[in-house]
Amino acid sequence: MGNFFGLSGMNVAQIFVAAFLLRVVLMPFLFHPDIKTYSYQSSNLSRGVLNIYEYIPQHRAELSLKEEFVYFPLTYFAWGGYLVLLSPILGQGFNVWLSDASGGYINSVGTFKYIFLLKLPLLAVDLILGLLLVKMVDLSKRKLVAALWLFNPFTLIIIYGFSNVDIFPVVFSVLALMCVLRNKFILSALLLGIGAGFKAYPIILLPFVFFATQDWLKRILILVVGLGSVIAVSGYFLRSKYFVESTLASGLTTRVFSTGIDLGNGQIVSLPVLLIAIFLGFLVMSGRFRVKNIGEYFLVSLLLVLSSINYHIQWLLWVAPFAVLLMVKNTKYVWLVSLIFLVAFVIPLLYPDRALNFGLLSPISEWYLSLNTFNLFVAKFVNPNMLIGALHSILLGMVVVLALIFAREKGGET
Amino acid sequence: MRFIVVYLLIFVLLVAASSLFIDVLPHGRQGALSFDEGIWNERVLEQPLYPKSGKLHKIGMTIRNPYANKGNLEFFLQKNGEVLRQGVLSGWNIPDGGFVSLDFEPVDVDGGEIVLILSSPDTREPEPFRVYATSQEDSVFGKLKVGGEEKNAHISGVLYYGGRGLIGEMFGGVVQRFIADLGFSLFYLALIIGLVGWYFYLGKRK
Repeated sequence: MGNFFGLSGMNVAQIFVAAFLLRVVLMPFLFHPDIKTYSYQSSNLSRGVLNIYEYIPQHRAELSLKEEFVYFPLTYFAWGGYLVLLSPILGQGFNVWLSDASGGYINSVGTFKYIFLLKLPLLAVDLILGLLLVKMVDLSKRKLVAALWLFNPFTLIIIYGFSNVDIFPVVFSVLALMCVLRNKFILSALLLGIGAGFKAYPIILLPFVFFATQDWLKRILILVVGLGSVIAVSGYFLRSKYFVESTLASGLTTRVFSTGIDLGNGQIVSLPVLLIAIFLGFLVMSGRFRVKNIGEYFLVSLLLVLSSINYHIQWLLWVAPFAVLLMVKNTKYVWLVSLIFLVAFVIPLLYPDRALNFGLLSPISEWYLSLNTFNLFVAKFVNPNMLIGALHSILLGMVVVLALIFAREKGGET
Repeated sequence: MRFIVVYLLIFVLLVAASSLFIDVLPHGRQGALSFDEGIWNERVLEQPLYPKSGKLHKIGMTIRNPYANKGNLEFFLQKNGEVLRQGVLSGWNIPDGGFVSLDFEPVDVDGGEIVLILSSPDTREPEPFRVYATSQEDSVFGKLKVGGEEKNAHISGVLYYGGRGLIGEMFGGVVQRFIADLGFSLFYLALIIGLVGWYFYLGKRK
């Protein structure tokens, strides 16, 4: 597969520099409004706002962008901290651009610079992720893992097109995997907890770390440290009804618990939780849980969540590093994992949202925003929701197959 | 490095190819969504328009439908009292606060006044459609009349014209805007040259 990327003439350092170059070229020309919205919200940190969840509803009338802040506190403090450094360098023009709700900002002179500089933290974390993945494989596979992470178009579009903050919890989940593989279970739980301080999903992986050790004291510590770190980060804000409404009661949290079998009276058997419980339960009860396969378990459990709910395209980043590691570890999974990723990538592109389609090219020309969505194009031939449903079924089917493969795998130490 | 060049070529080709699908272009920009005006059976909205000459394809605006009204919203384009185009939008397809396009067979406009009329005969006052308006001046929009009463405002809308063959116009601005930020464009080019140099330096070192 290395030849496919033309790797034979390059060393690992060259792959990273080439990837850096590719990103620098593309960064200013791809744009999704989300990065501007959460940057505008996080810029309040430089004005001394510590509780953004309370601040927005209380000052909505005077704010130009009125959306709630839907991420967890560490996102606000990390991104806001970066903006504290950036804003004085860029001056008042940047603040005006951030707060411009008219749509005209995309044509303003500084747009390329602002988009480029806003994406620098994403670039840094993206390259760090590449380095972590390189560190996790044998010398002979380093070029391949670097190329698969750095040159695959899916992660490029998700990170630099959709520009969401998911890359921060992703790096913590990969660090957590590294720690588990080195028998540092408590540290792994801590890293998952910190990751969940950005976005809640890494907590899904905590049960796998829990079962990675047989030592009950360590297991208790894993729970205490993992959940404790989440509470330490978000506990202060849990008292705020606005935090609960905008963060805990929105997005992933509600989707995970509202998709499934309706028992009536508002009670739902959560499909993602059910599937993960079956997968993990089978691994543990059948004695087939293997610590060396925990990367695969992380991948499957996150895929089970995504394939059984209505997900955002940027959530695919959660599984990307684990998918890359699996493809490098065992090339027999390349086609299945690539197909899963392709189908999972196509589904959100069929949503009726211009910013998810050609609108990403709006810095080049805002007229890309006037292009019809794929949803409208598909609607000429077939009901888009029916197509999305069919693709979702195929996706879930493929993920269940992957889960069954790993659940049946025997051999090796626990 | 060949791989990177191929990658970037694919990106440029994708950008160019996707632009060929753009056959309708907005003229001007939608104004602020300052306030809204309700439409129901007895309250018709009349908006004089002074469009530039060309082939008018559609008119976009932002409409609130807070009561999920499933009734019809009718529109008429009139010139000197003669109906040029008309159409109906179902309330099912009007999300609350959504950007809605009034699509019609393209009509040749010559710069004179035409009037857009929005009405909803089957809507009662408690559950109106509400069209966003603004008092910002715009040469395309005349003074809005709501229920016969003239307002010092106009709907916050945008007109779309047939746009095939305007690729040059579409991409012309990007180079200008990029170079206009001279400091950044020099830094950006220097960074790219530096990275290319670094890449070849690493290649020689091995």
